[in-house]
Amino acid sequence: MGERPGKVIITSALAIIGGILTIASMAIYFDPGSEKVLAEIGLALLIAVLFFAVGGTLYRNGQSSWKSTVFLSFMNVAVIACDILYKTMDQYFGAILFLIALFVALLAACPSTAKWIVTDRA
Amino acid sequence: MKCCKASGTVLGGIGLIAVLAFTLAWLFASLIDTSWVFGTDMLSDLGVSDTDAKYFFNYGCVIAGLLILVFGAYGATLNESVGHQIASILLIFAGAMLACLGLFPQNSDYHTPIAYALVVFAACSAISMTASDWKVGHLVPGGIAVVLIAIVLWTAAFEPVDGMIEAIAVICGLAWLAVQGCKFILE
Repeated sequence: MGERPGKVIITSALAIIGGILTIASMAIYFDPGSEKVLAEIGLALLIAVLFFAVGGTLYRNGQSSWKSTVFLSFMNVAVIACDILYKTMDQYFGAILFLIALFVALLAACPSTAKWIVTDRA
Repeated sequence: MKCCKASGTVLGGIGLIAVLAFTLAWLFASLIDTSWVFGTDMLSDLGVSDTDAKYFFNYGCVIAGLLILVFGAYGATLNESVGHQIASILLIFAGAMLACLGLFPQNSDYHTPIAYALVVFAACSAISMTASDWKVGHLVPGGIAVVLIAIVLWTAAFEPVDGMIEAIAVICGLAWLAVQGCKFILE
């Protein structure tokens, strides 16, 4: 069982930070009077879950395969993009989350991440 | 891919030029016809504009369509996996339909069936290419395609204005084609 490479540590840390920021944004921008309150809460929770799922995969004893991890990362990018496009999230906060998710997806798709998940993770 | 680096660069270059041709045609046509509104009017309205915008748009469609046709045909001969070959063949039909859209503008009886055929061929090609990319381990182009497909589906489901749905679908389609072009260049 090898050491976690720096790239994997950064990816998982970014994903966990992204999840925490998403939950924080939901609390900060919560507006009970909004017409789209269900979408605002539901999509934020979905984004947080996807962030935490990707972050968890990149720890030892993680369960998902490499392809599933990358798929979840890109799905997260897609959900954040839709969230921004349809204004169910603060635009600036959404842009920060989009960049974090994009970095996570690209780092997760790296061959070195794949090598660690396939051969060294558990 | 059963080719040398130079073949991949040529193939990718053709895809990127097709994207550039359509983008410039759309841009110039919308600048000339100031009555056309992004996200409200349909793209095909530019093809029957009272101004010179119709020449830019229709010729742009024909040129981009022929380039996509060549991109698909060349890709079908270079790709080894069956899924990629199917996607490339579907792209040939999509390119032909785009070229036909330029020849048969909105006032023609053939326009609507050709437009629907273009959407079906392009969507099937994108889905097939994405699945094949995923299968052979090209996860970045495959992942970007997943994002673009999700945005188009989301827009189609929740956007009430047809003009905006069409505009976002076309932008995502162009982005997908550009990613495919870059994939072949970098491969």
